[in-house]
Amino acid sequence: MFVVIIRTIILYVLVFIVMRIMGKRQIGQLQPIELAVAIMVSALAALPMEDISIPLMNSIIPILLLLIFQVTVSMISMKSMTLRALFSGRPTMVIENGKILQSELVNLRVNMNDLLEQLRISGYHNIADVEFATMETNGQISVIPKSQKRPLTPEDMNIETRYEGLCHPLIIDGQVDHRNLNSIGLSEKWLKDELKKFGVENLRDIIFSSIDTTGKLYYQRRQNSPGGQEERNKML
Amino acid sequence: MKIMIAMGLLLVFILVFSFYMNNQVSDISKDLMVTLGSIEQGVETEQWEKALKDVEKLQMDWEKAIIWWTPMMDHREVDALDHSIARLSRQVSLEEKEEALVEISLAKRMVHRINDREKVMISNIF
Repeated sequence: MFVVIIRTIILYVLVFIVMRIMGKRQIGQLQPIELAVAIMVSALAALPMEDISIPLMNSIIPILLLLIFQVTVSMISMKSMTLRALFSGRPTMVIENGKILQSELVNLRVNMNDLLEQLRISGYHNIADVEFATMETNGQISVIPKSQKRPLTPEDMNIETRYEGLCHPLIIDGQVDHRNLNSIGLSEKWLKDELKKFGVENLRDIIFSSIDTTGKLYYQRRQNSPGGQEERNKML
Repeated sequence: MKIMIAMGLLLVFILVFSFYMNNQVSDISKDLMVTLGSIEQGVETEQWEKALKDVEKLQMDWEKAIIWWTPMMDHREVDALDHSIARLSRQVSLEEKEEALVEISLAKRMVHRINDREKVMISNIF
């Protein structure tokens, strides 16, 4: 049994490293080949975990080769537009100027129900509201609505807006994010002093704290911390 | 660019390692076949002392082979050959001619098959 445990640990670490190197894309954003590679890696790792008669090397080498191929293909795709189109395909317009391009739907083997479903997922329940729709290389449909149907923006209303930058998390689960603090020129001492003003003695009592570009500090105590239950009752 | 260099080095390492392992498997199986042939000759001519010495050599060769083969080959095939060598050793020490000859031909077949499976051949790829 220990052999199975050790093999599982080795393969888990290997798959973990390989998937990290391959990239950060979420499953829904994977290109078809990336999804296939992810499934292949999982299958290669799963088989020798349960069957100890399969040498571990028979899994490790193919997994490493898939990593090499995948990284090479993604690097080549970055450098060459032609090869990128070959590996990942090109986005295809399925609705142009409000008209459904039937020939493209046939080429993509997408039926009307699939198209309507994707449009509904994108928030467009009426196809008449759509000016352009494009099937992206990962199979998702992106939509540009007719100008009368798109959401109103401050620019439409000639409203001046202030700059909105990133909100920086400073404490997550009681752990201070020193990297974020340093990147905005603040220190842990400053954070402690600020939170002390609100009666927070220990930073570990904070479940989440962040600061926005206007300098507004947000924090929330843990439920079981001093003052946390009180805070929760106030919210209720 | 760093990742491409790392991937290139990894690929070179895998290729060199595979080439080295192929050679190891081929060399070891050749040694085993030679020793098995020698045991066969000894058994056929009923020179049991010579055959016993060859069996000892076979066991030493096999101990070396197991180190290289077990991590690379199907463990079931390696186990089958291990059992066959153990049986052969006993049959030679008991001077059982017919059984020993059958076991030798079986062991030869298994070594041959293990070696063949590692060769780059169309039949192995498909």
